[in-house]
Amino acid sequence: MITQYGALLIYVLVAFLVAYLVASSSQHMGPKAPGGLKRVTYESGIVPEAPVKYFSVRFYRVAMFFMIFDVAVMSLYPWATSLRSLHQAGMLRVLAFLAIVGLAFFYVWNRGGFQWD
Amino acid sequence: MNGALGPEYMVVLGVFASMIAVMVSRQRTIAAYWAALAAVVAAGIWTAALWSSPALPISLYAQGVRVDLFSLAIDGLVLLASAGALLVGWNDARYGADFPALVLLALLGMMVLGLANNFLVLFLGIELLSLPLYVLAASGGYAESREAGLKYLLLGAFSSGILLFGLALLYGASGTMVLTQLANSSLILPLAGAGLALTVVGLVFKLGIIPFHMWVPDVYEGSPLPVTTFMAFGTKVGAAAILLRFLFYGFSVAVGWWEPALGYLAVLTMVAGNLLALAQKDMKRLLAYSGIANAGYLLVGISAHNQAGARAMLFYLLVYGLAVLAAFSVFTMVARERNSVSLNDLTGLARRSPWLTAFLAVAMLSLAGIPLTGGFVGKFYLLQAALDANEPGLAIGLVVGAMIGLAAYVRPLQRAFQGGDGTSEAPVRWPVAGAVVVVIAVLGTIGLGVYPAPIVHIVNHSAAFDWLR
Repeated sequence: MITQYGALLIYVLVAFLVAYLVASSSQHMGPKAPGGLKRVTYESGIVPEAPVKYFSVRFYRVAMFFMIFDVAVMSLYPWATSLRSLHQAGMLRVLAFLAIVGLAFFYVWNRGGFQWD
Repeated sequence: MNGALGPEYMVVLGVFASMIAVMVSRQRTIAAYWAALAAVVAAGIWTAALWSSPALPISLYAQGVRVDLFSLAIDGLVLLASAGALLVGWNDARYGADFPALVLLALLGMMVLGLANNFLVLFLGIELLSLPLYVLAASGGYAESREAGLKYLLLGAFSSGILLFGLALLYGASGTMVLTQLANSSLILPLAGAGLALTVVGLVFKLGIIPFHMWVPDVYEGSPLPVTTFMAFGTKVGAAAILLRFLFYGFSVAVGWWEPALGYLAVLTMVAGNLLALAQKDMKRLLAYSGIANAGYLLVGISAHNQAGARAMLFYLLVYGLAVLAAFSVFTMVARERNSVSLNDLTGLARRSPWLTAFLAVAMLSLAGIPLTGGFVGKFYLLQAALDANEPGLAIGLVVGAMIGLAAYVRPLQRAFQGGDGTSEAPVRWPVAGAVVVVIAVLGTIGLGVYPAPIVHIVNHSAAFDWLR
């Protein structure tokens, strides 16, 4: 067993060794210049124009509401393409779906979810 | 159709009613609570009416859901849990007006878990249960609550990923999504084994089994008290129900794969959970570790894999839930404005409020499994199931766990009965809603200990899995 697969084992070891040496060679041999621009938060080799500003967390809320309602309304497209074959039953179900989405929308509105401050 | 999903529709209508109440009513919080409670009561009545319906069991949506007496029993349990949580947190402005609607959404997830007969419905139920609970855990508004919510979200999302991966592998290995259509011959072996293992890990994570329990104490401690009540009772019922559905309906065809592993997990959880409960000073953490240990007891019923085990598990869920409701409503009254109760807060409680201490004593003794309380009868049935299944190891683990647990549950009582001169502090105030919960839960606990026959009758019918031994 071992003798049969010994060659394969050596091959795997050599493969890992070569991969490691190649991948780490720049760290071992490359020049090092710590400090300076490398301390900038988003270090890309370019000096930032202005001090780093973080996005307000309110953007997150807006983005999330957009996602929710956008994905919900997106479900109308499959219905619209097969509108004729679904007849009245499909229409009623879509109306029920829109009522639920609408209720959620008005709930978020009423609870102040769309207010910026 | 004939209204088999009536309880679920009632809960959906309750969510809408509660949201509309928040929008249109001037006293938005109390209106939302009343709407939610009305929906829970209506769903309970519908569940009771369905019990004797000749149409059951019935499969709907291409065998996606299966309404039978088991799902109705689970409906009853989770409706009790959510009614208890709503009453414990009744009209408390601290948790916001969204609290009742979120509780109802999580309740809907638990009810879906009781019905699920399909991998997709299973996952839908797990997510519907989890997403509102993440928000509820963070709804306290103080730092620990937010931490609890975030921790629960991250670990819950991780476990959902494991669960989903397992379900995908199982679908690949079996070619079917329907639990009752799984057949031993059609399972492709290594793939099905890996899928089963991942799915079971995802499910026992929600149940809080050691070694997948790390989130339980932190989340229970940080969440507001009514939310902890709901999680301790409702989530356990939902997770245990789906684990039983998944393993008894689906994987009865491959018992040998999961039975030993779940047995070891059960023993580990019972012993270690109770040992960890011994070291706790905070009452919420104590009940969190108690919840872990009790999940181990539930797992005994599942890994026994017989009808007696399923019946004992259902009975024990009710017993445990009643004790948890009683204990948490007492703690909510003691805590008042704060959100935690430590051992020191209980000192001298017997002099301050003798009745409250008596109720707490009944709840704690039931959790410990003292005769004349429901906890004793529940543990007795579990022990019987383990012995019926020729699993003496499970029985020994259960007894050892219960003995360690006794010490953990007696400590708060010892504090309550010592110290205090009875004059320094005023008696604890009783809100009406909390009093209703504690009285009903304590009466139920004693009633189940003295005369369990009616509930045993219900449980025997709902867990009549005649394909098991």
